[in-house]
Amino acid sequence: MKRRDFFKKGAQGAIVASLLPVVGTASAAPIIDNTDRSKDNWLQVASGKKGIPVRKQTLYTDVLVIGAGMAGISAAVSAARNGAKTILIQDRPVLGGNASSEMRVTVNGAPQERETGIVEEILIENWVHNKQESYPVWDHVLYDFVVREPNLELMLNTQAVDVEMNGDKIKSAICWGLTNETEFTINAKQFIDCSGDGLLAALAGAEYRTGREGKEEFNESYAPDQPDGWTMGDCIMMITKDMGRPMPFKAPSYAIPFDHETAFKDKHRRIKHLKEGFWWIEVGSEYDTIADREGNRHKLMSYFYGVWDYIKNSGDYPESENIVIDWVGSIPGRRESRRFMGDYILTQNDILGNTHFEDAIGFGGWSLDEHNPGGIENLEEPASYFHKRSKKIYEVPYGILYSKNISNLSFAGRNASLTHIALSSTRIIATCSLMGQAVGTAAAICLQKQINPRELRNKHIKVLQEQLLRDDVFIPNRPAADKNDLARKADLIIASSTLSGDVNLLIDGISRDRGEEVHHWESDGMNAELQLEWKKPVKISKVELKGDTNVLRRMMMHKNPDKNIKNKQILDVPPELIKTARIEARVKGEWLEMAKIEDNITRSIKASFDQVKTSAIRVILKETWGYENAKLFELRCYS
Amino acid sequence: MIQYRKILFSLCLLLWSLGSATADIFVSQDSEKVYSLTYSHPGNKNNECDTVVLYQNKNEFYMDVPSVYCWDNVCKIDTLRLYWSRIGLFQRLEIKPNSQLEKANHEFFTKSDYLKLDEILRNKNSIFKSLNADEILTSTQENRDVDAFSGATRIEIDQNETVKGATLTCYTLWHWANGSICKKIQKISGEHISRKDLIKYLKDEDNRYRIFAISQFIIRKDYSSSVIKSILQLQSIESIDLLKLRMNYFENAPKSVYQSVILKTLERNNSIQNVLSLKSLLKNKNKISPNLFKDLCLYTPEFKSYHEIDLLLTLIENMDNKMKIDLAPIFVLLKKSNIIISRRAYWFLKGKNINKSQQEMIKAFEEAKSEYL
Repeated sequence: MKRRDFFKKGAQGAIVASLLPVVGTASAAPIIDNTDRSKDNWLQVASGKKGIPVRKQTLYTDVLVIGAGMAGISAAVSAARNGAKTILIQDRPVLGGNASSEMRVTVNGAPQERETGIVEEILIENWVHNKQESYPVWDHVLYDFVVREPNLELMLNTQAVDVEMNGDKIKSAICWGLTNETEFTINAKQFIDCSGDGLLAALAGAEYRTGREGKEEFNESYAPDQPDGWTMGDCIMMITKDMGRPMPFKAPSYAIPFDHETAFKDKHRRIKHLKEGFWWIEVGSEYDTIADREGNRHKLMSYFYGVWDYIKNSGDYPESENIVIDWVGSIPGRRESRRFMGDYILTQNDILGNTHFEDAIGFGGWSLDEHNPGGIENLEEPASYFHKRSKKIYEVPYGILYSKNISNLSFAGRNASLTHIALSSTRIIATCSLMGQAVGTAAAICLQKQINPRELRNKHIKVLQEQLLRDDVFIPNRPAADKNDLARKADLIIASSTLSGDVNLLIDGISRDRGEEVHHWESDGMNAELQLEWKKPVKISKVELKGDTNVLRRMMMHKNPDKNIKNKQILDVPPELIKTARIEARVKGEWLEMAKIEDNITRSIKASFDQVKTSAIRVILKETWGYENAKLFELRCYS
Repeated sequence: MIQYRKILFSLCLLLWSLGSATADIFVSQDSEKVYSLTYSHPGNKNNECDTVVLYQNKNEFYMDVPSVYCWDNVCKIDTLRLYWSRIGLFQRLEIKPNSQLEKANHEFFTKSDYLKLDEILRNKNSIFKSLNADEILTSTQENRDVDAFSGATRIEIDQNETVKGATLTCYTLWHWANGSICKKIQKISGEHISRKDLIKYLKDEDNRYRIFAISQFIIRKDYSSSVIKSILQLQSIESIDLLKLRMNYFENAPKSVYQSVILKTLERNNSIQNVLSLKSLLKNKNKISPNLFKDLCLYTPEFKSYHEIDLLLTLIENMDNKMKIDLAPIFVLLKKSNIIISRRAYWFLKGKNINKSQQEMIKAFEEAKSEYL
């Protein structure tokens, strides 16, 4: 159902309608109005009077983000931090989407090197509040991260179910609050759909596609010879517990017996452990995975319990005797549904060929991890084809993150402008999070400049990139060159000691080492000092540092904590990170303390203070979270 | 041709069976010493310690090691001999006659494989340093399953960093060649090497020998005049690690020694050395006598960089007020063309107890350089 302020009928409207793979026509669906409560027969005992519930609200905001998975959280937080009044709606009671306690997909990222920015902030914070790696607690870590952000309002259990349009712009999203029976009309200037399935974007008429492109369309060698309707499937996961005594298992009535003989012909379908779920218990759809959702969910549960029944009762896994399912998902984690089209479509060849994009906003690195059509219902094919992986991280362009035909709509996550094959790599959660941070930041810049994403890309992409780099998003092959950064104009930078690297590398625009190429400065011991001198005094109110969290070391939480050990993870705040520091400015020859940094847990450390006119800034690094030296990758100063 | 010392070997076996500890336990007719050591190789899947035998002849150490720890009982294990210098630097490996290392699919190493292996073993920063055996094993398996839902991808090792088909062998041998055996060798050598040889090492072109020598002099607390003289002569060296260690040697010296040598470490036009020396003085303020302080201030014109000047002035600012200082050399700094230096001197001098003409110099500086203050 779509409402238009200025509905344009005629041939064009008809053509648009026929291209959209919708069920029914645009105007045929009945309107269910839950907001008219005039028939309620409500006695309010306190007053003795009858009342009518008020179940309609109109809200105004700058940016509306739909969907609070990691992409949506990153989008909303970055928009808010960059000055946009933002509302984030989520149609579930918890945040995180696929990464939440409801689905428990690991926050994986590029294996070559780890993502920084908002996703890293969240992962570090989780180790502070949730060393026990509890998923329900993780939900609340995300909750705190969002609700404490100024400029940002969170609405849980709220789904966008309709749009009001104004030409090719979305004017408002009509949202339904599942727990408060309330219809919200949320007016915004910029809309970001990070909901995965992208209902709002679809309702707005944003062009999208589903299925697998054929080889010919984008010359993708891993694509099927002919296009078809398949999408990668959904999964449910589990976590087990060892009860220390034999625990029998009786399968539910709907369990489907597991054809292990056929399944195990594929080396990837294995029972390698009994700690967490099996990703190859997967069910896809050939046409409309969204419509098939409930049916597929039931099938997944059926197959899942069939596999577990085999494990527990076949006799082939005696080690399972004491093992029970402690948690199993009821909501399938989804890999693919709609992909909305932008001004650019990312393809296999961009990923494997490491295409350089002038509008790059982040990176990916996962392999082309394309799962077979049908999943467990297609045991003749391997569970995943595990196509090639790019050796280096690849660039992700901004041009895939906004709609080509709805001018104030962006998207991030698995619904971005990608081919099916490209999605098999970019669907990884940390990559989606980087996309989210890009679109949220972009939305705020669009508001400042009163433009839309396309114009931002065409005329102001450097502004977006500089802000992302400043906010610690790494963009390959794109060093920072912020003209406003006064540290780059310092006449001298010195350090009290240097163990490795060089203090002058802190203003070279690259905030991580690149293989053997060093871009850091490391002190020899703590109480290290850095000093910047300008010949002519400058006005400074912000000093920003980028510390070390070892981007070659993984950081995420796991359903199976053994993986932490295998990955050599540190289950705490990275010890290399700066914990305590002080910023001083020299005013009339005297050093004055301008800011104190204490208990810092972010790689990007931003200190603000009353503006001061000074010819020197000193940074005193007092303490890390364990490491014996201070290591930085960047130093910035702003007026 | 490798000659195994069978008699020594038998004796060692006897001693192993008696559970002997690390020691210089036998001296052969060839003045060769034998040490029984325990070593935990990261490739040993049981995380057990191995007892290994290390031999020392006049110039080198050597040891026979297995080429690989086999995790699946289908490997061919060869014995190789590795050699180290007296300071634990890997020198070379030798393989028994009529024996060849094997790669995957039972292919033998080629000549270029052996050269590659040698290159890997000499690289202290090889990728094998930071990997564990698990990662090595999974890196050699094809298509280990990966998935966005469950976990991590296998490590991929650049083909330039390993011998293809023999990654586990490279890993095993790297950790033999560069593991803690090297430190044990250094310890053994350090306990027995003569002062004469250490002083010779100070003159070696290879900084690693110099570093070893200075480290030993620090351990031995050897502040004899010949040693001090030799270490002081290490001027104009580019290795910052060596310069730092040299400074560490002097800082650990008795106070009188420190006082007598520290200013001798200062060098004209060597900002790196001077910064180290000044930092040392800042750290060891309690060792600075009034005479030393007076002499140090005379060095002011020798310091060219801002960092040196800043350290000197910071040191003066932190000294006991009772230490008298002649401010005249510092006023000279006001004339420096480098405004960052002259400004630093200005801030130092402003507010000091100065005479009238010096006050006028300060005022003139303020007027001329007001836009920089």
